Amino acid sequence: MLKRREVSIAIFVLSLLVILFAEYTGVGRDVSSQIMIAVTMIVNFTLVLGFYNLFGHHIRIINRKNMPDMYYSVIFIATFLIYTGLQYFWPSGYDWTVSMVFTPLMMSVTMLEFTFLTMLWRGARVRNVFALIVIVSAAIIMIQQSILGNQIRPLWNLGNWILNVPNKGVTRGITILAGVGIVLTLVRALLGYERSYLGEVR
Amino acid sequence: MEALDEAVGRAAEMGRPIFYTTGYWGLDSQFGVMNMAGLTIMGHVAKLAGQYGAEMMYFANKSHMVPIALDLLESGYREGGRPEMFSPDMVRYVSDDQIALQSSIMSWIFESRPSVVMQMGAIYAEAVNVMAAGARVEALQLGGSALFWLQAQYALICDYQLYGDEIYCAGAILSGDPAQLGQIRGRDWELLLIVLIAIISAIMANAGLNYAGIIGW
Repeated sequence: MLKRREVSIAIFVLSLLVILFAEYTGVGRDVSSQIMIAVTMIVNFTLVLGFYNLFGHHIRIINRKNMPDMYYSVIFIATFLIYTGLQYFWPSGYDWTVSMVFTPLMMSVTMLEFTFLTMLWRGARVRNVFALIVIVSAAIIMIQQSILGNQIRPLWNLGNWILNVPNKGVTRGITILAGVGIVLTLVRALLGYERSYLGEVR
Repeated sequence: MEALDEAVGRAAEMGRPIFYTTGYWGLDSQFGVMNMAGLTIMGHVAKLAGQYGAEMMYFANKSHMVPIALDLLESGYREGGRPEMFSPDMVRYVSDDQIALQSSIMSWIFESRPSVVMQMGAIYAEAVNVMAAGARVEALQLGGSALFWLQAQYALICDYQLYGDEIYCAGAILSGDPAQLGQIRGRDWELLLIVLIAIISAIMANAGLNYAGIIGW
């Protein structure tokens, strides 16, 4: 008799084999696309679990009357209810809220490249020779890309060499390694060794 | 991999939690396999946390990761001998938005001051912000991802790092199973073959030979 775990592994392995077979041979593409649709539907249904987890957390904070976290939780739940209400009962109000409130707030928070570089420099520590090489290379590329760096020919050439030779070589190497690693993990999953997706500790 | 013991032991000694994330992507994306490897390591860390008596916290950006993470943590603490330490509050879903994920993690790190910050899996742009927050609270940082743009950042910020595809080998190494370890040896031979082909190709290309034409590609 199959146990619950073995049924789950069988579903995973069979689905994966059908998708791989269809991808490489072109046979059974309909079945493969139906499996993909089923996966999307299951993933969407798991939103209920996420919703339960998220709201449970905020309701617990409100129940504990934990200041000032309580205010954030109240704002979160109120925003959710207002957004949902607007979308169903006043769509034009919802569009206005998205374009005039949500988008500007998100744009100001994001500023991704700027925060990215700031955070990188704040967190960076030169612990070994490799970290030193990375930080020196990063500094050269940053100066090279500035207006001043454009005017200094040797620096410009050095920056280009870093980007085109060691950087490109390493990128290709890691891409190949990652490809081999993906095959490695998938084979383990197909053989039933890799079962982390079932929430099982090995 | 040996640093995992040290990290969890440190957290237990300091009485501060361990933060773990598999990043922005879930199991339904092109990075699903990488996250699967990240979850395997997470299960092992949960088991160690159960043995040493350390608390863990996991932030999910995809809702389908919630039940998987809950199961992993629960079974990890049970295997570690402290099932009573597990709490459903150890997994927190913060919507599918990346900014929400990174700001929630940063906020939690500043509030809870974890002693260890671990990022293993398909981490995206949130990685640096999370690592910078970890550096601010002087946490021990462990990173592992096969995404090439993260390698340099992890090298700069993390105390311990799984380079490139090492994350994919973690599951086999942690299992200690000879069959799986044999697979790692096979992979090493495969990589050696790839390096040899690259060297021969480079020599032929520099000698002006049309190596692609010779092998019929």
